[in-house]
Parts: sequence; C-alpha cells; structure tokens
Amino acid sequence: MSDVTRLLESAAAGDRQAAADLFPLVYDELRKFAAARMAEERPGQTLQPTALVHEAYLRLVGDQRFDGRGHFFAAAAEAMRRILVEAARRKGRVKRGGDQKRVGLGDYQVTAGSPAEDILAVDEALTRLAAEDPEAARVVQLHFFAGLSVEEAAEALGISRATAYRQWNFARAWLRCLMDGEGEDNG
Amino acid sequence: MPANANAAKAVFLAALEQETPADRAAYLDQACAGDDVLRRRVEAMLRAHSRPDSVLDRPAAERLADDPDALDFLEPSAKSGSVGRLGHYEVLEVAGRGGMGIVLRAFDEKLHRVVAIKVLAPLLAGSAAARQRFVREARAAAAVAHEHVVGIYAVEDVGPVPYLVMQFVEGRTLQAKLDGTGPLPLPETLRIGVQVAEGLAAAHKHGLIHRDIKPANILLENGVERVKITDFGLARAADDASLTQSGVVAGTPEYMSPEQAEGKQVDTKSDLFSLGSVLYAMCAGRPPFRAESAVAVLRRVCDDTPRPLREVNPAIPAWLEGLVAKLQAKKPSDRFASAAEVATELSRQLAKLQSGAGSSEAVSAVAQSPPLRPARRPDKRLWVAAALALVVVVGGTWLIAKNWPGGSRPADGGDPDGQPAPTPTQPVVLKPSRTLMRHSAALRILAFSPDGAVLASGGIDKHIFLWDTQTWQVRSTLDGHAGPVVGLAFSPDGTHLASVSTTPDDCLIRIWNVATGRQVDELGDGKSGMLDVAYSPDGKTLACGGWDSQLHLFDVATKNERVIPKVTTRHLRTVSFSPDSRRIATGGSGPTRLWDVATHEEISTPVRLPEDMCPIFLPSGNELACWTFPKGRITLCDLPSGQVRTFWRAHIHPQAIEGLAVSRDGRFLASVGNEGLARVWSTDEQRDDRREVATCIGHEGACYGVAFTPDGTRLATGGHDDHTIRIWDLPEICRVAP
Repeated sequence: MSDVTRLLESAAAGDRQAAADLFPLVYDELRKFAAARMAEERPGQTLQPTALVHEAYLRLVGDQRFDGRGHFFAAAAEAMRRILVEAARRKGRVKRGGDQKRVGLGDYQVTAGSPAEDILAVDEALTRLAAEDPEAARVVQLHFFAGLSVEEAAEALGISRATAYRQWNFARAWLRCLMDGEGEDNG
Repeated sequence: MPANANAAKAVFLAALEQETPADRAAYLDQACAGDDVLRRRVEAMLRAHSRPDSVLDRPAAERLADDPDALDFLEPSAKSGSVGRLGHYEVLEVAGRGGMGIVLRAFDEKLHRVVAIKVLAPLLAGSAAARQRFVREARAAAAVAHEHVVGIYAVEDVGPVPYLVMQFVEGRTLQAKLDGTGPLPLPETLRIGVQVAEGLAAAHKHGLIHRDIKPANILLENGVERVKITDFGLARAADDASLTQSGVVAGTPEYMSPEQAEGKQVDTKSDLFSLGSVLYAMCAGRPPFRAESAVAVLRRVCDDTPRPLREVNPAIPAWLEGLVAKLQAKKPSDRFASAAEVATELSRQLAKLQSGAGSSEAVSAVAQSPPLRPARRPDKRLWVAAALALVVVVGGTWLIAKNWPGGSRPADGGDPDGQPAPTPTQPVVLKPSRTLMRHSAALRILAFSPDGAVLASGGIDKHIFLWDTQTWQVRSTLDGHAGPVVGLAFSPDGTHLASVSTTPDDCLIRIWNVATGRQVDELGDGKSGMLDVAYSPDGKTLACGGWDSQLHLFDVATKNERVIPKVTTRHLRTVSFSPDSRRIATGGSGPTRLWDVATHEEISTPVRLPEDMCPIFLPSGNELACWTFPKGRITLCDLPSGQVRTFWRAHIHPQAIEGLAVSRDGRFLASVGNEGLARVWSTDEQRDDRREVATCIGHEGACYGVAFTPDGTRLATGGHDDHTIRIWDLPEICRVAP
C-alpha cells in the first residue's frame, strides 16, 4: 500500500492531518507530470489536467476505487490550481518584465486580459469565494482548474450532480461579477 | 456580508429555477422586496449567468495555452525593453513567426551584438526526431560561411526548446520585395540570381541541401540588398513533425521540385529547380505554378510546364528563358550540373549586360541547349503521389513557408531600393552602420588594436579615446597632449599605444598602457611637432616624424633614440615599416625614401620613387601604396621591379586625400577625402582597373583618418567637420581570411 493510499484511507476515516499530508505528495507528482506534458505541449493542444490527475491517481494509488478517492481529487485539484497559477505567473512575469502588478480586480479589462492575467484573476477571485462559500469553491477548483466535468466533480466531492451544477452556476456568476467589479458594494 | 452573500446565492439559484422571464421578475420582486442592493447583485449574477464567459467556460489549462506568444520558455528578465532571457541572450522582440517556431531579435550579452534566434516550435520540440534533426541540420548549416548565406553562430539544445542563434539581417525578404514591386528589372533579377546561386553553390559544396528555396527564404540586406539565404536544411527538421497537425498549412508548395512533391529522395538538383522557380518569379512577378489549393499546385509542379517567361514578360531575354526552363526540367538530370555553373552563367550575362554588350540579344550556351520536352502526358500517378506527400508534409515543410522571415525584420519605412549591391563593375554604396560621437572637434587619426578589440581615435580636441569595438563605448580617455593628436600606433602585441601631437608645444611621443589607459612613458627631445608614429611589426623599433623633417627611431627596449636628419624637404608626413621590420619608408614633402632600420642607411630603389608622396608598405613587402595629399592620387610602386603605376588616373578625391589605410591582407585600400567620401579599392593584380569596391557616404564635411578592422569586415573613418567617427560594414569580400 502506498503512502498516498494510506493517507487517503486515514483521510476517509476522518483524519484531517492525513488529508493535509496528502497534498504535497499529490502536488509533487502532478507537477512532474505537468512539466513533462507542458514541455511537449503543441499548438492547439492543451495540457489535459484531467488526464494528469487520473494518471497521478493510478500512479500513486493504483487502479482501485475506494471512499478516500474524493480526498485525492480534492488534493489533486488544489495542486493543479497551484501548478497552473505558477505557469500563469511565469508567463505574466516574462511579459511584463516581472515588476508590474496585474490589472486589479474590478477592472473590466480583466475579461480582455492575457490568458495569464485571466487565470490569475480567477485564482484571486476564487480565494475570496472560498472564504464565503467553500463548497462552491471546491467545485470551481475541480471543474475549472482540474478540468473535471461538473458530474465528475460531483462524484469526487460526493455530492449530487444537481447540487454540483447549482454550485457551479452560482460560483461562475459570482466570480464573473467579482472580476467585473459588480456587486462588491453590497457589504 | 456572509448573510447577504448567502441570501444572494439562495435568491440567485431560486431565480434560475423560474421558467420564464416574467416568473423570474415576479420572483425577484417578491424575494428582494425593499432590498435594492440584494436585487442589483442578483440581477448582475443573472446577467453573468446568461452570457458566455471566455474565461470561466473553459478549463484553465486551455485558456492558458491560448497564448499566441507562448514565450514561457524564456526566463524572466529585469531589464526594461526585454521580453525575457534565453541563455545569455536578452530577447528584445518577436521578429517573426512561422509554423516551425518563432524568430526572436535578441542581444547577445557575451559578444554584445544583436542576433536572430530561431526557436524550434514546441510542436516540433516535442518530437525527439525533429529535435535531433533541427540540431543536426543547424550544425551542418553552421559549417557554411558564405556572404550569401545567413551565418549561424550557435545551436543550443538544452532546455525545453532547442534554438539556433544566427546573424541578424536587417532587411526584407525577396517575397516582400516581389509583393511590393512585381517583376524586377533584368539587372536586379540577375544580381539577386547570381548571389542566390553562389550561396547555394557554397552550401552544396558542403553537401548541404536547402530544400526550401523560395523568395521568403531569400533575405535582402538593407542598404546593399545583399542576398542572404536563410533556413538551410531546416525544412527537413520539420518533416518529422507530427502528421496529425492538419489544417496548419501556412504556405504553398509553389517552389518545390517535382521530386520533393512526390516525396522522393532529393539532392542538390532539387534546389536548382527551386532556384529556377525563384528566377521565374522575379521575372514574372509571380510563382510559376499557381492553383487554388496546395494539392493542385503540387499537381502542376509535377505535370505542367509553366507558361514561357517571354509570354509573361517580353522583356526577358531568350537566354534567360532557356536558363530558367533548364533549371525547371522535371528530370533532375536535365537540369544544370551545379549551382556554381548557374552562378557563372548568370554573372557572365550580368557582366555582359552591364558592359552594354547587349542583353536580350545575348545568346549563350544555355539558350542553345536543346529545347526542353514539355510534359505532354501528365502522369496521373505522379500527382496522386504528390497529394499523398502533401498530407505527410502538411505538418512539415510548408509550415515554415509564409511567415518565416529568418533573421530579417521587415523594412520599416526606409526602402533600401536604389542601393546597388556590389557587382563586378559597380561599387556598393555604404551608409554608416554606426556613428560614434565623443570628440568635440575634428577627428584626425584612427587606429585599431591588432586584435580588433579597441579603436583608438585622436582629434584636434587633444583627446584620445579608446573605444570598445564590441559595445562601441569609450573605455578610456587618454588625456595629456597639449595639441591636436595626429598620430597613433598600437604596439604589435596590443599592450601599448603611441601617440603624437602636431603642435610645437607638445613634441613628446606619449606611450600609453592600453589596459589601464594610463600614460607610461614619454619619448623624444620635444623640439618640434610630430605628424606620424609607427611601431615596427617586430615591436622593437618605434619610428616617428614631423615638422623637423627628421626620422626619429627609438629602440623600444632601451629608449635610445637615433635621428636621421633631412629625410624630406619640409615635413615628414608618414613613416611605414616593411612587414619584416627591416626597412622603413618615409615621405611627405620632397623625396619618398626607403631606409634600412639596422644601419640607418638609405636603400636605393631601381627608379626614383615619386616625390611628395606618403608611402605605406603593403603586406607583401614588395609594394608601396603612395598617396598624395594635395592632388588626390594613389600610386603603387613595385619595389623590386621599380615599376611605378598611377592606377587611379583621375583624382579619386576631387580636392585632397586626407588618409589612406591598407587592409591587413593588402587586398584593399581605403582612402578618405576632403570632400567627405571614404572609398574602398581592390588592389587585385588580375584587374586592369583597380576597382572601387565600396563608396562610403555619410560624413558631413571633410573626412580625416581611416582604418580597417584587422579582420577586414569594417572600416572606421573620422569626420573633420562633423566630429564623428563612422563605422562601415564592408562587403563580405573584404573579410581577411583567418
């Protein structure tokens, strides 16, 4: 039994520390895969986070389904988010000579921003969403960053599909409003 | 706020459940009664929900990959104006893009020069085979050093993407020129054709096949419109690209050879076919094979004989039509034997054209060759094979077609037209590649250090500046002279610089340490101003002369001085050592003489050397190049035979020559004149007329002081009136063989 499997079982049994310990292992594995994939990235073809996550799962856990699976995907989604944000930061740095801040939230330009800026804007908005609505934020992490379908996200999170869709619809509108600077004056 | 947020979420999700807009409005009226803030917020979210979202509706990774400038292989740079770093290159901009990758304009921080970097596209970099080929072909191409082939400086295969560093050619492609002007005048077609053929011949000699000769791969250097062929062999690297990259045809195979179109093995003859198509395009203003689709073009390449050139452009002489047709023979063995043969033929015709011996009537061996048999019965199999080949090559060769300008950058504004390139009879007109401004008064003398790393300049502002020839920044200012600095000489080992001033107030020879910029010695008795100074090539003797008409010889080691009196009648203008350090030539006003350095005796010559001349030894040691100050003449004196030839009969500088320099290999002379021109001359014995190779136009007012870089690639000239130093990039033929 691999470390990861053990941690997943502990996490499934309610061990919070195990869930936390899971992250660095998953992150390392995913980053290695991602780097390898990105190196052979081709125009018109993109990094496939879903494939990476599944590949990492097979590698770290093996071909088995068990209850701890959700924890793995949660950790993997978090890891993918970090990997992509790092990639976006690199791109942003290269472009801007490294010393400029990206356009702030509340700037309409965000929607017309560079891909790197867009990703960074979503990341920042998602951090704020997580503070208000962690469950919705988890769906975003799985769907937007890890590339899982909403249904797959539902499965990974152990929630119903309908709920996952509702969470996603809400989060999507909420994030867009925040990134467009709308609805921030209500508090 | 959390309460509000939760409320907003609940109302938003409930509103989404409403089936009609009317129901939704009614629901909101009820749910948000009296809470305008909540209502506005929910309505904003509903609007966001109803719109597609370019960012959130696609996975993050997909959005990130959108970046058309995918430059994430670059390291970040702190420098302003830099896009990023790649190795020791500071990337300045994306100069061009093609299916094979991107071309970057970058600054080489080690060698301080602008370079072009071609980065293999990730598309290809992912394929180990393509990668290996890219590197292998680039290495092979790097072996070709030729003035008509873009020079490759380095090939790097570390990191995520391999890249090759090459000469940055400022100019535009032949394609851009054709797009802008249509058919070219005959002399220009020939001039470009000769150079392309010469470049190809040089590459073929190394066994290198280009495989993608077309106008977009032929660069015309700004100013001189010198031809540079780019992308040697790189088409082959692209052949290994994935076959699944459909729909990325960036170009058309209009310049391919039939054997290439059929996917057969190609050799140098394939390049000859493409050269024929390029010549055709220059004559006709359009490629020979055109069709709606790439497949149809291929079919024509394999089956059709292009419309005869003279039908398209009646101004084309029959011999050229014949030459192009022969190049475009479907069977490789029916074409010319070599690119060199084509180059010879084209330059022969060009020379004929320029000497006015008739152009369109000129009949050559080519035109007399048997007429080519048109492909009457198109072989169906050929184009089927070609269509198949198309699929295979879609991810490959043609990808690199259209927007692949090589090291060139599109000419921005300034059109280089009207600038003739060097031809056998016409000098190239040069504009300065660099203007150095530091002197506050007239320039008088320039000298390059033996290794070419330092340029020393002296002027009437009494300053000597040492310029770093990589950065063209002043690295030292040598102050000490009390008058105009008119003579400079580097010691043969490059460690010291001797300088003299012309004023009676400052008659000492100053010796400077080049590395530190400090004066380390003073020589002489200080009685009269000096005009010239020279180190013997063996470094043992220092000679100088000036207004006292005496030749001063110093033993460098002991500083002992030996004076030979009255070597000229009024002043001694130049001193020049023979390459073996045993003789010294003196001149200025009155007699031009030779002296034995060891015995201090005059050496007699078979005939009396012309008077009032400034002599300079040529590297052979057998010839003196003598220039006159007032009459603007240059004379060559053959010492063993005593033959004296004034080979530039007319005054080459209408008012006066102000300086003469000899290239290190003696093949070229450069003269500067009072009218402001610098002119470069070939001393080639084989020619009756010592031809002018380049005319340098740029100084405002008179020109003083001239020096070749030791490698012969550049010339430096000093401005008497504009106070500038101008650097000129000389034609490739001037390069001194290592």
